[in-house]
Amino acid sequence: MKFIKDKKGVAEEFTSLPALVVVIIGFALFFAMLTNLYFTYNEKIKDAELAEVAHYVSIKLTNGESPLTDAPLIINKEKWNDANPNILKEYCNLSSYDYSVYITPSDGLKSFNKNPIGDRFSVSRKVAIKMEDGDVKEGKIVVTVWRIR
Amino acid sequence: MNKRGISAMYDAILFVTLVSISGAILLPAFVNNSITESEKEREGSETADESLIVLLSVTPSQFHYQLAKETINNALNKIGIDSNGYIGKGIFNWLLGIKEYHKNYGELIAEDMASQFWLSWENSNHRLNFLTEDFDKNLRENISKELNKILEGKYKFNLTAKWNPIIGLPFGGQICVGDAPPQTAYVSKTFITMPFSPVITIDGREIHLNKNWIKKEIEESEIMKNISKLISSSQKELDRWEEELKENLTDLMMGFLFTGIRMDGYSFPGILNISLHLVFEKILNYILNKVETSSFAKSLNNILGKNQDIIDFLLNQTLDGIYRALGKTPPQHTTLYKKLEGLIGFLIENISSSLQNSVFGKALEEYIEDFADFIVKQAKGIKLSIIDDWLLNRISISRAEISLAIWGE
Repeated sequence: MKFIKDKKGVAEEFTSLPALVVVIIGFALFFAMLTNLYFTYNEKIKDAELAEVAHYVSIKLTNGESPLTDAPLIINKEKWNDANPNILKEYCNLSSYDYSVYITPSDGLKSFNKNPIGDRFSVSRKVAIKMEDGDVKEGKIVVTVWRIR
Repeated sequence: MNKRGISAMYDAILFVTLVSISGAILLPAFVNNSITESEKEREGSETADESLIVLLSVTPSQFHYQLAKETINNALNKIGIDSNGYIGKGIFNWLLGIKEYHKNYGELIAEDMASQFWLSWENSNHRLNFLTEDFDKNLRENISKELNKILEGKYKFNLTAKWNPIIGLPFGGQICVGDAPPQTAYVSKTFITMPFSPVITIDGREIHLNKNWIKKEIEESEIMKNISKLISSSQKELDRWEEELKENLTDLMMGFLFTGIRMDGYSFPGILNISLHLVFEKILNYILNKVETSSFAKSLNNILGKNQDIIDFLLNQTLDGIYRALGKTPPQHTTLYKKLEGLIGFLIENISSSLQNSVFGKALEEYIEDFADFIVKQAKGIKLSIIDDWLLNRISISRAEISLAIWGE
């Protein structure tokens, strides 16, 4: 067991340890940053995707061809209250997302509310609400979108 | 000294440096807010677009104004009727109090601009139609409240609408609500249609507000025939020929825009005159309709136990007061309709002549002379359609521009 007592060998082990620790800390920091970055990026992508879908639904529901409007951004109260949620979903052509929508002020206007599951994103658009001929009010339509699991 | 220790220190420094470099490279990915920034930009610009459309579509819950508020007030006071008293207020509101319940802001803005006749020149503004100042004031207040509601107090705003029936000339209508916008404001712009019927009657003749009809009118005018002859004639005395062509062109354009063009047995009234008639005829019809159909007139007669004469008397007195306020002797022994028509004719004449005699009139002459010069310089290869097109492209009677600028507090 001569080599255990070899002072040169022990000294060498001790001198490389601090360097090893620094290397490990360096790698750990680097990978922590990389992982964090990956997750942050992933979250951002998911949020952006949900935001895009919510934005798309809000535009689709308020454009001139929507079953809810008389003209772009002009919601007709009668059409709104007669609307069928399934037809609206079909009109928006969404398969992997679901959404709820309501309008403020809600004066006699129903809301298509559902309980969202998981991550969700809401957008609002300013609209004019035609209560009847010659009576148009300002309002806001709020769309919340989430993924179907 | 242990040389291996120094080596470990070098390693540590190298690794720390490498980690820092990779951190610096990855930093933009951590703090990069370009998505958020572009979202903000999109939100701002969409909010401006949405708010403008919504504002133009919304109908105010209560909107009313009084025609010629100050003038009538003075006229009623002069004939001994307290304009703030029961009868005075009643007459005031019945005859000239206009309530609008079913018009949206787009229509109200268009009507207001059509009725103003603003003349802007060298930083000064003159409002030629004093009958609708109250309309202006109330509309601006209502728009301000409505935009605050629509924007939920999150943005400051500036709404500017402009109507120039003759493009390039600072005459027409304008409405401006809010502070001057900064350069970073989000701006939305659109056009609104002016509230004019496509056919109006001036001096018993139907005027059609469409380009083809107006083009035909110009082509059939004597001046246009002269221009046509001049262009096709030989140019022996070039100076004289140019002078004659310029004179005819200036006459044609002045007539078309301002003074009217004489035809065989009739005349084309000129764009300015058409614009003035469109507005004042609307006011005339409104007042006469009120006289005939108002329940206030009936109830006033019932209260006083007299016939319609009492209303005629009060109206005549009021109109006489307006005539005098304008420095004109009121016509006697004539019907109410004739009196009103005369008053409106006088207003049109007054506005038209004050425009021609103002700096604006001189500016218009310069504007037209410049174009006439341009045509004469190119006279050898000229086509008559250039003149037609130029004239028709100067008209924008039925369209006004409106823009909304919004910016963060």
